[in-house]
Amino acid sequence: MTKNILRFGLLLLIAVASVSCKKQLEVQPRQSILLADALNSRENIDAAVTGVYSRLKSLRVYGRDMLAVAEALADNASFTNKSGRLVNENLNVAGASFANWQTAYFAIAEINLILEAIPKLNLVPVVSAAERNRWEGQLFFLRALYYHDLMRAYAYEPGMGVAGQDRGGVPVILTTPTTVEAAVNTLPGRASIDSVYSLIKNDLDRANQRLTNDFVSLYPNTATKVAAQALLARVNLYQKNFTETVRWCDSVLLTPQIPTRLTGVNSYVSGWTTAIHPESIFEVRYANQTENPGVNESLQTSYTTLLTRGNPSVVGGFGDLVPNATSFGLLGLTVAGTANITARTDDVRNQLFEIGSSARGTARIECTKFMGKNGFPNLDNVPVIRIPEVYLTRAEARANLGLLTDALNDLRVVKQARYSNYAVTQQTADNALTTQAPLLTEILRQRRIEYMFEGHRWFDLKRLGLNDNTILYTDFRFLARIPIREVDNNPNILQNFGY
Amino acid sequence: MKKALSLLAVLLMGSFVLFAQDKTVSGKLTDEKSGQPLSGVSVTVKGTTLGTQTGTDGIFRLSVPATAKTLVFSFVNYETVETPIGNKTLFNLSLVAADKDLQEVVIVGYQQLKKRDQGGAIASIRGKEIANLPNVSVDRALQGRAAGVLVQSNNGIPGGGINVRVRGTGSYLSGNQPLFIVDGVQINNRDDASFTQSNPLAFLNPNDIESIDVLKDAASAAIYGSQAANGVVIITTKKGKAGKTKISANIFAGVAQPIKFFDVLNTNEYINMRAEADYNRYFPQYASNFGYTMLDSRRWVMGELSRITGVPYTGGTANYTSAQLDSLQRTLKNTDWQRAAMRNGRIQNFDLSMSGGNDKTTFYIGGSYTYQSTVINKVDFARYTLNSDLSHKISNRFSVNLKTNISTFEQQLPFAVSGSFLGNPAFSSPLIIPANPIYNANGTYFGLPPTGALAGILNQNVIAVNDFNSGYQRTNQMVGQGSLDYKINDWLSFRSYYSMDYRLVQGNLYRDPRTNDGFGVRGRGTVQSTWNTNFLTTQTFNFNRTFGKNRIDGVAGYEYRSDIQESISATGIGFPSFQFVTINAAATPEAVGQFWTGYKRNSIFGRVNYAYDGRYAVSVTARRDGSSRFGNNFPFGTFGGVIGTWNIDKESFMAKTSDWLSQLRFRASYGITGNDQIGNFPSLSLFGAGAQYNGLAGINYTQLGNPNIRWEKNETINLGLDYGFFNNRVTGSLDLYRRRTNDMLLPRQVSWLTGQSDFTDNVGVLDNKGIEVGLNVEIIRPKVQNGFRWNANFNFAFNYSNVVSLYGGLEFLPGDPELRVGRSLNSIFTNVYAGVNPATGRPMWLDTLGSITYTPQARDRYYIGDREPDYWGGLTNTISYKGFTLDVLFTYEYGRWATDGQVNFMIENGNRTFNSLRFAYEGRWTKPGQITSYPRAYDAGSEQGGINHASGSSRLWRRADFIRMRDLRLSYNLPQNLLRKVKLTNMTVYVQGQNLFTYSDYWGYDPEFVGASTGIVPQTKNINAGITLGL
Repeated sequence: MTKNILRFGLLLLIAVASVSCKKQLEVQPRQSILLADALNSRENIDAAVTGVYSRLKSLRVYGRDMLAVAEALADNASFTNKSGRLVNENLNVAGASFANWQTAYFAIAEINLILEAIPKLNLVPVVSAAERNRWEGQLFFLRALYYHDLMRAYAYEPGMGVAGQDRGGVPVILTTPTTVEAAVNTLPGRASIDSVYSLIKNDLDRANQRLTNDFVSLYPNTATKVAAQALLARVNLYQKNFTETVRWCDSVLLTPQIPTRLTGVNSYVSGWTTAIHPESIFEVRYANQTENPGVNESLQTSYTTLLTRGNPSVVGGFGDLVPNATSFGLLGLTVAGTANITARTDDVRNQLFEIGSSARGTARIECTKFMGKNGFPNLDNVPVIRIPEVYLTRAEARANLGLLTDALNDLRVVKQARYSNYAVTQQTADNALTTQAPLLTEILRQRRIEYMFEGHRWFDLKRLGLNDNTILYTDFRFLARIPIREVDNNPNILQNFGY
Repeated sequence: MKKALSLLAVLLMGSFVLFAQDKTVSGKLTDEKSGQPLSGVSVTVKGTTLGTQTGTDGIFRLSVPATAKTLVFSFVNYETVETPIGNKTLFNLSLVAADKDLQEVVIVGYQQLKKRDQGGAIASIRGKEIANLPNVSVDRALQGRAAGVLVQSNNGIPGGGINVRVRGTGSYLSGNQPLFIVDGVQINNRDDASFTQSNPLAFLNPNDIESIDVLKDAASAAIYGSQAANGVVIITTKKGKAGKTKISANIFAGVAQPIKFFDVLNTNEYINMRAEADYNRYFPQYASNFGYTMLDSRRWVMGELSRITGVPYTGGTANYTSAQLDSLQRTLKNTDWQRAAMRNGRIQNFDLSMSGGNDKTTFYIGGSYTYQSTVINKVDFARYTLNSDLSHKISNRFSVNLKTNISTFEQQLPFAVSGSFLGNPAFSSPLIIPANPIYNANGTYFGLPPTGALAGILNQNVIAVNDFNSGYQRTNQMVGQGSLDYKINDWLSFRSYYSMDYRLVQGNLYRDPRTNDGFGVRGRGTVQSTWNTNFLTTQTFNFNRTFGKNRIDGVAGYEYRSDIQESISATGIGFPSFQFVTINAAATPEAVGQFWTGYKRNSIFGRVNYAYDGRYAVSVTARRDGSSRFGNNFPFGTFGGVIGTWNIDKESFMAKTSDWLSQLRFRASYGITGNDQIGNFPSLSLFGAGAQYNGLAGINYTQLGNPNIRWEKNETINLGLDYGFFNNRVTGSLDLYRRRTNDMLLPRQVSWLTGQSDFTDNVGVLDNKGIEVGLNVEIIRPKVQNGFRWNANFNFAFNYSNVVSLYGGLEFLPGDPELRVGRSLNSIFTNVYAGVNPATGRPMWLDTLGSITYTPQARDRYYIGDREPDYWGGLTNTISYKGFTLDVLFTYEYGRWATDGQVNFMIENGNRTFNSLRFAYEGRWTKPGQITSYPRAYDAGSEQGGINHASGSSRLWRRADFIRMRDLRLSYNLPQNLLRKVKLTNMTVYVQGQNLFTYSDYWGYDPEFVGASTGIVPQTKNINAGITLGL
């Protein structure tokens, strides 16, 4: 009996001993890897860079908002209320605006981690300079792009602050904390607008130095030298550094593969039906159906009720945002009633606007730039920088520098590629653009038409201090509200004025 | 060899000695009151394992050694009798029915205790109280029957999700469901169903249940340590009983019906509302240029319906005269989509069980088939179960037990559990514009792609969508355990216990290419398979000793659990035609997935109970748990509790009161339990897979780990009083508790600049305080057997919860101001609606200063209430006479605020092109001076310089109080003399109803739901009839 008790007592002791053994409790996740092990191989650095790109597909960035919300806020479009989306944005209701803060900073955090890990890589064979440049070049480009979009949404452009309402740029973070203690103490305030611009330009400079122009593989879906230069041109234009702007535009347009890719009047529409837009210098790619942004908020469903062009009997998406009467005029459309196109001018760009389905209520004239080009409804690549932008940017910069002839030449390049009967319909008027003001007006008007429903108009209004059709430039709603939780969690971040 | 020989010699001699001096005793045992023979009474010789049982005639016969001094007669529910043997050989005895209270036992975890000796807060429900209710799963039956246990259904899906809260909500981030234990198996309480919902107890046939014990206070639950913070629900299924083999059969069948239909607008009213909305918006914009009239608005609205009328606005209705519009409008249908989408569901249940055995071996076998379909077409639940229990005594010391519960259930749900999906019939059917027909003139479905769609935002023909799509989920579950018991000596035993909870959940979902969602991709099929392997072993010692007036018993043991979940899934698109539904037919694989997660836990635990003289009892529990879920720094936690009981009525000074006071007992307990229902890896910083770009796989920074994370600890003080008056005619209990959650796990937010939203940290303190009252009154006690009897059982619970503190002295959680110090965990913090401006019909709110604003901001939010009920409970009345019994259970809930996603859509009043509720339409502002809370109809909802009236604000919150007649049953027991002729031991026939009557002024479909009610499969009222046969 005593023996038995002893025996079982021993069992119990073993049990007790095993409870205090941590080894027995070890379970490692299988779908994730530890941060500490994540960035120490070529494959994982590649995968992490891919991860940073993948965030560009978010609906809060190029999946929808940087285009559709921007259009809803600006004066090109009106809402249809067919799904109820983009109504408040179109009415410029306070708080209904961009929400790219989280996506952008999450991507920036990853970029910082990878940039920190690359010099520490201890691999066989050793990381080559070319390899390192390829990684770093892309990461600097992407960081600049994310900061650029943050600035466009949440801050005024340099020198454009409204008196009493300017609260600076966005917070800058270049080192990502990896412990909870460090994370809790990551509380930077908003940097000055100029310092964020310096950061963006510095990153793009470094990207430009590191990247090559590979027009064969993965162009234009990953960062290249021309992409960095084109973005530098845009950022300098926003900053009104016109000389620099011209310089970077020159770099892009002197790259032989670029000017030839501008589509002419005959290939303009087909350019918008191929998966990769031939004019794209940088384009966010949705390669697989798994990456489909979905039936509710994709660009296709936001803009059109059609499933295919010219077939209003088959209903597709919601068509929440359509061009308004002003846009009809800009595009050269004569519309009777709400959606009856009775005449079109020779501007080929209006061919991407047509009557939608009446299945979701009254049919409207809709934009058909995004029609599921990648083989499935709602699956479209999204151009971020197209070649005409570089011409129009240089035209604007040159016009501002007083180089009116050069500016007009740039404008003509774009217009000749768009008006099928340019010599008859446009030439005379263009020839008359001999003074700065009307030339700049026409350049801006062409920007507005060229990028109709691509989200440029709002940022053009904002960088130039122009009024929207519903709100004045001085209205606080020209800037988006910084997410409330960000202000709550970080007392150093000043909320934008009015919110 | 020599040793063996001598052993043999001893054995032979021993048997010789026994044989030589044996004598036989016999007798008959009867019930003291009725004189009926008692079968199955255990007769043993005291101090030995010799014994037998009485037969059906009550007679026993037993050989006893001459050394035997005392015979012990014991029988369930009877007082045990000990009789000296002396020279007697005949023992005719009558047994006295035991004082019920003394005999009642409760399962307290690894051990069973007499109710009288345990002082925790435990609610017990007997199996027969909940037998044959038309509940697919048993947890729904707990509602209103156990004081302090709040049970809320997520929706009306049979076997669907359930929200069980024992004494309030104690955690923000971790789970709040109690630990469910079935026959010692710690059931995994995750819902693995991808395409529908199922709750963790859906595998179990409720009729197999013997008892349910809910451990509510921490001291009682502490034996389960880190899993017990939210209470423990211990379910014990039926076991075999020695004696004549008993067969029992239950059959019931019935119908499930919608509780109600929404009262929505007809076609003419809809057009009127929408035209008014359009006019109110556009008149001011156009008036200055040209006269915009109501006629223009009507033209526009009729143009919106061109899908039905065939007349578009452009070049059509825009030029119509009023008379032309009238005649066009007269051609429109008035379809009741709700009644088309709903039907009467069917309820069926058959089960058969058999139990019996002898003193060595007992068995129980139960099989069942349950089918329940609900009011939304195709949504159903079908289950087959086989439950068996086998116990065998190998020797006087060894015994084995094997128990298995094999269950398979299949659920159909063709669209979605809930949500504002256009194809979800529960969501869409009351919202679709009634002018839409369901069928074309030729009998085919109206409005299908490629060319068709319904008019309005809700443009899917949900009847067709529901008809064509399919969604199917099958769960195969095996919960089984085996145990070996070894009696070391007469006071100490050892048990080695092993169990497996294996669950395989497989599903198939098909979006038909003929439907709107499937058309664009030419059909989408998804298959999915999830399997869960939950292994548990427990090694325990049980002891039980009595020294004079002192009794000491208890348990000590070791436990190990490993729980692994894996799943795979695949989606394909591009089907040749709708006739092909398996994904091998799909042209394009759209997505493939695999998932793995798991955790391990090991523990030691023990409990010692000491009782003195039946007056005082003390129980001490301790448990130490280690878990892989917590970080390297703090993987272990220690939990425990102390319970004291004082049976005041047993004191000599209480002798005088015995004429009116039948029992009085004071209980007090204090304990600490833990909550580990969090993710499996919160302590680790991770990069996760799943991203892709450019056809390449990417990784993202997915988690910031906190290596210092610990268990959430619940500390509960419980004071209780049990009482019985007037010969136990009035009995009841009263419990007061304070449950404090320390180290509450919270998502501690960090700036998004860090690349993360938050990390998990132990940073909050939360209190739940409450009162629980149970009262049982025999209002009318029968004077004769089968006379008129009326019993009432009432329970009441009050719970008050408030957040005591947050990290860093914060007043509220950044980003979630609803979590606020001094408020309930589930408080509501929103803009306050100030009604409609009588002059303009515009909606108004209050700003921070309390003045009127049309554009409330986040800073203008106020605290308006919380989503936890203040009081809840149930009232059962049982009235019986002769063989008839009437049972009525009312349940009630008071003080909970709810926002109803479905109603929120339905009070938009013409903001968008879908239907509205009649009361919202009729209450809308139409003329200056009108006082109402429904603003004027306005297209798109947001007036110039205003916000949408349908935006989140106090307007969308309502009290969800209700009193509900949950169960009503009338049954008739056929008299014994009749039954004997047909060789039956029992036959009961009954009719019953569920949810027949609800008193509530809630504005939605039903006040009983958790979460959002947008498009949920609704609750039903059920009526069924059944018969129970015993053989």
